[in-house]
Amino acid sequence: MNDMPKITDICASDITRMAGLDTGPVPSYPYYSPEYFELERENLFKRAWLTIGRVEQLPEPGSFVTKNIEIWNAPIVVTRDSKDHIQAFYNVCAHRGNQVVLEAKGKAARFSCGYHGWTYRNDGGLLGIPDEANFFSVNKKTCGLRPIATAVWEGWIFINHQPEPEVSLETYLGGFGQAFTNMVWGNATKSILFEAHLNANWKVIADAFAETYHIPCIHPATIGSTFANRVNPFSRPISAEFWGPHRQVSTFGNPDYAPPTHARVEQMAYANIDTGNVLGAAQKGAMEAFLAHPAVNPSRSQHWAVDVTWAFPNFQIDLSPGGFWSHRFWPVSPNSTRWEAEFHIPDATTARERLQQELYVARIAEILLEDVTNTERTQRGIESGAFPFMQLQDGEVMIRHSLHHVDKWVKARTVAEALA
Amino acid sequence: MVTSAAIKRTSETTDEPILPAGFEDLLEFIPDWLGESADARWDIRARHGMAEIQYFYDKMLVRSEAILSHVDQHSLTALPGPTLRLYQLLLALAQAAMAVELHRMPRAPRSPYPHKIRILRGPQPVA
Ligand code: FES
Ligand SMILES: [Fe+2]
Repeated sequence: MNDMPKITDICASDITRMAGLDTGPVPSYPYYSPEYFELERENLFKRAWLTIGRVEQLPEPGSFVTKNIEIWNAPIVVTRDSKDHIQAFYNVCAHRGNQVVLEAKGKAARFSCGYHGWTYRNDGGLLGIPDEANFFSVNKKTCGLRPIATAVWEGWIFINHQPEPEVSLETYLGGFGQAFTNMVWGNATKSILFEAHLNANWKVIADAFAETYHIPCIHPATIGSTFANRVNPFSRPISAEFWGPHRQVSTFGNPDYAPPTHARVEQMAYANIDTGNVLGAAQKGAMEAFLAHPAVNPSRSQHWAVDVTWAFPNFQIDLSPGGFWSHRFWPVSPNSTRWEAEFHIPDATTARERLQQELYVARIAEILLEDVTNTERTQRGIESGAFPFMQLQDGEVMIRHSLHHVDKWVKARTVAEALA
Repeated sequence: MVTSAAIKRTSETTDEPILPAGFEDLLEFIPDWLGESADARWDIRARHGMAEIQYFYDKMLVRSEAILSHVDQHSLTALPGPTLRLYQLLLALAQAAMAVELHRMPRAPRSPYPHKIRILRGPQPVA
């Protein structure tokens, strides 16, 4: 590199003020206060639209998946019925409350409760009551599985705890939803799923994936040289966008990254395979339509690595030259969270491609291990109360933006007020 | 060392070889390095010391092109038992590479073991 570019030519500065946020320290108590957590439960997670995954998890009529939404204290089942309609229900029997569907996923036209045999169609309707004659005129029409407000956006299934949501999913997503309209979600049908139950507040874990300042420290060997170089040693972001409570930061990639000479397995596995960087799984050439979308690398920077997109409150989609992945952060208690991360991969047809995918997964697993085990140490520190405030730098703007909007929802009397 | 229990566990029929002909030199890694999912292979590497990982890495790396060619004689969705085991050994090389090529130690620095992350669903085909 003879012509070393300057960091100011590559990275936007003053993103925080540009987003209309102030720049002071932020309070720590939202990360551990039981009272704050209960406000989040009632005013945020029971009013916001939440993603449970993609439509490809329900590939055909009759497909179903069950989930546990801890923050609602509710088991749910999501089905695709014979008319191709996707709908979430409480996985609860109208008779005496048993859980109806016990499998994690499958295909079924009807579900039979294991307690006394009440039977439901996969569109939720109650089909039959054994020995119905011995009941006292049960109204079967009102005893189907109880539906949960469900809407699909660009293949992502959202649910809302409010029986009649105050705002539609479209309104909720607003400009963010519009920016991602017609996104080409490459390799959506195939995915690798990671999960962990962690002793940390959901925001501590979400924050861990929302800034790149930590990368040279936490990930020195796994991705340190992918996200930083001499020009940008602390991995400052390239640019950022904000849409209401939703946000995106484009992160910096070292354009000179190549497998080091000693990395002989990496070289062997990646021979003839170019995924752009080590975080995406698909070949760059196969991702043209995805990469051409204006919401992917929106500033069209040559130094682009990944767009971290954070759909409020607990859903992140990451876009990279080799495709997309996502995180969902499910609060369980003030200091425990179920975290899931899903990475999408193409079909492997040769032994080398499948080996490359194994290497890809192995590296992702190391990166995630570095990230999430650190969150438990962070949680212990925060909840000690040693510091009532945290310091955030400009590159950590998404965390500040998140805290700002969480707090707004927690305090707002209505969703309209929270979104205003 | 291949124990009879290992043969029983890894061979569907008694007359089926553990590994395809020509790859007997890799029998020393069975059952130790044979994991039947990405999650299991992650754990196998994490449980080994650096000297063992380096030994496995060196031996497997020189055989990797031969294994890839052998595996590609079959469809990935229908690998015969011996070929599947051979390939699963090679997939474990990806894990060994994390220790040898990235961390230069068996596990990620400052990471606990055991840890709580599970790979609930790994790449397919070939578990
Ligand atoms: S609780 Fe389901 S049939 Fe009785
Ligand atoms: Fe990280």
